[in-house]
Amino acid sequence: MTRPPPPSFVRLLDMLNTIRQLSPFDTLNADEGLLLDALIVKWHERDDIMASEVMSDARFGSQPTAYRRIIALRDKGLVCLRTDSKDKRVKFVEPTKLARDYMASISEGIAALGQSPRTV
Amino acid sequence: MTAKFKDILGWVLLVIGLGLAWYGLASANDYVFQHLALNPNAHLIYLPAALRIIYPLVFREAGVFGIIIGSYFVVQDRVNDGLRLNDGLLEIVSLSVMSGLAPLIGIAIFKMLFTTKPDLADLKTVHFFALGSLCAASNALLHNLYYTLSGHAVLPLELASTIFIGDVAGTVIVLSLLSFALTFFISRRRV
Repeated sequence: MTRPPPPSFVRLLDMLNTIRQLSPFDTLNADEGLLLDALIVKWHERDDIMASEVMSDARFGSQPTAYRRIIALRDKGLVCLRTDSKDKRVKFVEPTKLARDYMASISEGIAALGQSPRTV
Repeated sequence: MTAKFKDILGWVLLVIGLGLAWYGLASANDYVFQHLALNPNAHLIYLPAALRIIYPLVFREAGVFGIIIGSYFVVQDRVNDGLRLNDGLLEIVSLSVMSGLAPLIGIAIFKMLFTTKPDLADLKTVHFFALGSLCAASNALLHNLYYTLSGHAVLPLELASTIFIGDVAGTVIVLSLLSFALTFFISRRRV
């Protein structure tokens, strides 16, 4: 049984999404943003975050989906994958300079909000 | 008002809206890039060419009719501005229909060369490049064939290459601007 063609609004949204991806400027989608936020919290707790640990977190979807998002963050220069010297099957997800700069900008933004307002 | 009547009315309004958008962009193109025109129907930059790809893929028959209706008013405007046609209304309608049919040929060839999902979710840069080139080539060839068969004095190679270059350039410009706008004005997060 053949499926009916998708409605126009579905095709329009898909096409707009595809056109948006033509842009050479890297941006994060909502899922990648969620993963990055979670990694930032984890990095503040400890340094050695294993990729398998992230993949087993149900918030990020299935394991293959979570892995794809980790790779997307790596391709956008936000994380790097370091192989464990003792067990080459283990990979650690570490922040790059870009991610550290991003975390610093968040801290600065929050600090600026906390400053007392200037009197005129 | 029955559901079927509502559907038909919605479809008609969609066609009119698409036609108006085509007419607006073509008129703006004619005004801004008039110095890049070989003749009133061949420009070195033709922005509506991007819609020639998007309309049939997204809106199917409504998109094709939108192009035809929009093109009708564009050609009518050019006639009012001094464009000479041999057969008046018949030629205006013929040019309009050709403008709507050209992308169907390009898309048909594209579907023979590439396999994509019906919901357009898997389109890549190479697909847009192929679609732009194929639709531009079919438009250039159709127009060239028409002008030659209808007895207009034209330089076939110059006309075809101008239309092809204009359509490709217009597609690249519009898709780039649209991609830029979608990235920076509707983006959820920038790092």
